[in-house]
Amino acid sequence: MRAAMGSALKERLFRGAVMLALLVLAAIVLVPLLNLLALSLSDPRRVSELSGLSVLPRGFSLIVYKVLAANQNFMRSILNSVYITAMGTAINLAATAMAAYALTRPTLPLRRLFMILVIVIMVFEAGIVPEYLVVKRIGLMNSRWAVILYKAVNVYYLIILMRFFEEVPKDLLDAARVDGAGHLTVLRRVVLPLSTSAMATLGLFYGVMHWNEYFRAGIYLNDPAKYPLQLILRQFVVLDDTAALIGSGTLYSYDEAARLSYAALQAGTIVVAIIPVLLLYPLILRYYTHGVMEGGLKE
Amino acid sequence: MAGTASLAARFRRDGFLFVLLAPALAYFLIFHILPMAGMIIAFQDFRLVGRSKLVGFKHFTILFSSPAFFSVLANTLILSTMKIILFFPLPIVFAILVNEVRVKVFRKLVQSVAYLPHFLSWVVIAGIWISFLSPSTGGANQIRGLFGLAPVDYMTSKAHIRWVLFASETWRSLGWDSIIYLAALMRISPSLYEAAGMDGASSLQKMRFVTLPELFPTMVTVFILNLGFFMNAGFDQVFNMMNDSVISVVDILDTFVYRIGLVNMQYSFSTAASLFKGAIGIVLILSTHLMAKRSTGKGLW
Amino acid sequence: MNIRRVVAAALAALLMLCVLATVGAQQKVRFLMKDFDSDPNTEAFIALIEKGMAAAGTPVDIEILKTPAGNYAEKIGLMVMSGDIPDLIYFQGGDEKLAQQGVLEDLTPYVKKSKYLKQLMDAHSATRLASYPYIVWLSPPRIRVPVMRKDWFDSLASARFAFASPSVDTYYALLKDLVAKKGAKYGICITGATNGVEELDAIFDAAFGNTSTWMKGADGKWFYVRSSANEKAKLEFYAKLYKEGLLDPEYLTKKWDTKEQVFYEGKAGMVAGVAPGSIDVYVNKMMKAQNTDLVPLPPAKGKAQGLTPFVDVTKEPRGFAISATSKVKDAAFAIVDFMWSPAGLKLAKLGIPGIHYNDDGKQYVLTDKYGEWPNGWFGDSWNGFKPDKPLSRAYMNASAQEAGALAKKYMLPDRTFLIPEQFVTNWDAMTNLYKEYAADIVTGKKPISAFDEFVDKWNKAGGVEVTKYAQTVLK
Repeated sequence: MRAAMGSALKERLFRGAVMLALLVLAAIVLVPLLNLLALSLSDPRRVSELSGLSVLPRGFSLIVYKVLAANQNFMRSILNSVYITAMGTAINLAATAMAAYALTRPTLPLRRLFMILVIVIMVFEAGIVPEYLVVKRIGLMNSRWAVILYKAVNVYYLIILMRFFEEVPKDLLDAARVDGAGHLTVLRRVVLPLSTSAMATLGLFYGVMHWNEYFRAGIYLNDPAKYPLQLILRQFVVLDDTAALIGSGTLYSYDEAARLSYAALQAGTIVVAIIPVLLLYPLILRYYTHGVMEGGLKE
Repeated sequence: MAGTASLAARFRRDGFLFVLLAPALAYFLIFHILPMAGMIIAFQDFRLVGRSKLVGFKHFTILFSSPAFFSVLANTLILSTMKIILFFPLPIVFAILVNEVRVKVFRKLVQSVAYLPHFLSWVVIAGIWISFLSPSTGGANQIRGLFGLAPVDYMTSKAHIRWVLFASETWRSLGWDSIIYLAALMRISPSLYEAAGMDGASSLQKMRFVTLPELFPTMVTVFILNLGFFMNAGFDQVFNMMNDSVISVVDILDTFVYRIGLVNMQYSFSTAASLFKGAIGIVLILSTHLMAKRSTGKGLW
Repeated sequence: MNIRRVVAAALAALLMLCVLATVGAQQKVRFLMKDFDSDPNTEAFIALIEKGMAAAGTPVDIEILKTPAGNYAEKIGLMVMSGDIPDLIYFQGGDEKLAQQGVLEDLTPYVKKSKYLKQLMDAHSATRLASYPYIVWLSPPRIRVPVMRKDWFDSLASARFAFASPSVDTYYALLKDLVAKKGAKYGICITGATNGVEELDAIFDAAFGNTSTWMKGADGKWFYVRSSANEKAKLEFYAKLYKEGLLDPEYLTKKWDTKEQVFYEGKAGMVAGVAPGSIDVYVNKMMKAQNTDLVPLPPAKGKAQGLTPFVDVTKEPRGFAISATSKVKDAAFAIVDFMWSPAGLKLAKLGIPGIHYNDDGKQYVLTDKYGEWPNGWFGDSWNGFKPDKPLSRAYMNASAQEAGALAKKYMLPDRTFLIPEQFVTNWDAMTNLYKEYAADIVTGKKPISAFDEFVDKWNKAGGVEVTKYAQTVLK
């Protein structure tokens, strides 16, 4: 009896300690972010009151967001970003899943060769110049598809997915094959349903990658109507010392905005970038459920 | 197996795999293999207009014989070792701890929040950390003050700056990098835990004997993959957090190449450096893969 | 027979007419300019330029090539590499390689023939064009001027004294007063993270004898100023400032935004900024933060007197270039020349009528949107800007204009050369050596005697060879 009590207490302490540690970690992570949020929502005249660790805004003002949204292409850029992210992620997941499946079949001819190829590709970056020339050659200049396709398959993620696919029990695969299923059916009916957490994770990774895209977009797109959100937002955080030439112009758009601190604007751009991910992430978490394997085995 | 089935039969059975592989393969060919032909400029004196002359290993020689090369290489190796090897267990531990939490709301909260710093660019994070570490107004030194300790200027201290880089990188990536492990943890069948529980295992023991072994394949994969980027060491971070006092201990290969590229030799020189980095990356990946396979049976594939 | 001849003649005439029409028709110039796409007024602006040019007898059809901010340098390189070279290009660096390979046109004859541009060029602009004729740009030299708050200036005797007879000692006294009497945390703040001690140099470099990157010593040999005895004395002084709390103790991690912040909050009593552009920005922000103007100060006088950075007259760091393969070079240059004609200047500096200013018959009333207008798009210089009607208010703060005048008065032309390819990596290492030793000496981590150690290492890292090379290339 006493022994059982002792170990139950240990359990409780252990759990308590874990929760405390995680709480501290969450705070360390959250405080600077809340600080940024507060910075972007504060009354511009009181921004200097905020120290690095304050989490509440001083006063309240949406001026930062109004200035950011004042760009004529703001709404359109959001649509562009949504388009790029949606199309991109769909293509990413399809191509990556199919490739991961194929590469994990031991019967794939030339399998070793493909694996080496894939690793080489991951590690050697040819650089933006040759990529640009290729994009030009295939006629994707100024097209959003250049931005969508330049990273159609991320090798790192591909290999991670391969690892997950390899965990599917052989019995299930053999059972399906015995039933006469072709590869596509096996992929769709057996492997994918057992890898929802992995696919959800990759969906998140790829989605975030597309949503935050700005560099390639800047290189390949010439038409401001096609710019994604991040590119528009970056105009406010161009850092070279061009205050004399351009920065002062945009910062003095409105009387109130003239007081805007650069830090507040920057904070605003970050908040806008994070919000959609923040909202979607809990949905992704739903795919992270225990016991998915359990269902498979019982079959 | 290969002997018994005829080529036609094999193709009939597995030919479809090539169809599945095709989109990715097409992408790799167009966007990676084809541009790689462009890496030849590492062996040329690249000219925008007119023919570029082949100069063999000239740029590599310039790279390796630069006065700064060894120090820059050393810094890259040291920082990478800290970031890849020291950092490695942290997201795993974090994922396991989060997984242990029984209170669903708390767990979801922590999960939803931990990954957020990943979204901040290094420009912003540098600003946050510089401010936090300020000897006069920063939180870190205020805490030191509470314990009666004198303030330390971490950002300009050669002795501390590498740890600052390590800490800020950890702060940024801990949550995000743990996502993979959380996904892997989800696949562990609860029956395994039940069985262990019935054998009288405590939480800690369950971690040792169920969780860790189940996570092992993912851990190996991530570790080996990260080694491929060993020579990168984080340009954005170093660029934004560097200052004059600490150049000699944090200048990495990429910041060095960036500066030189700005002056004269741009494309050829930086491509040569890229090739060098890639070569080291390949060697590291392949060697660790083979070692892992030999000792634990699990490698990258 | 006759009919045929008449018809033939008529056809020939028609043909001639068509040819003439196309020749006289507008030439299309593809123009690549930074940030044109982020300003919503671009279309209107370009339309006005085209109208103005047509009225002036040089009609052009301008096609703007859009590029987003932040990627500009890469974008130009990529466009040129893929054979897609615009006719008129604005460069902010990266043009040398192209010029070396003959991609850019020599602009000397165009400038010579120009109607307006030529007269408005400052001496330094003309010298730059002469030694590197591929980029043309009209702007005052980028020189830093120290400024302090007017309210503090008016109430500090040491400030007025330093203004009247600037020297190392009077500046020292002023900085002390800023801390002692005005409650500043430290006297001066500089953007150490990106510029090291350069902003202090704006005040003190010349006073300690440094007047150009390479100087001729008493022995007739050229020496590099940063490894000289002058530099040692200067750094010793900076270290003293740091030790006594007169220089921001965290200057090494200050970036431009954090430096400005402490200035407006009153933590720093003095900063240095590029005149007149940045000073104008500082004035506006200080007015809003503390409701006081700024006073620009002259540099300290010692062995010499002058403001830094030393003005490089070897080439324009930014400006317009024309592609050597362009088919509309004259039309392209005509655009630039037009922008410096009175009609063009009015457009460039005042903006769009109705949005940035209104013509009420007697004067040009600058609206409150005027601050948005980037009046430096075609060049920061205000030379030749004599509007036919007075402006309702000054286009730039008076104190910023004063700073600009100080800059012109105290500028120091540089003597330097481009580091040749074989020394590039050495020079990088040598520069880093300087930066690190300077940082450590100023912040007190190393004693001033470490400077000799620095010189020794500097020589070993390539200083000897580069100095030898300098003797051959500098006159």
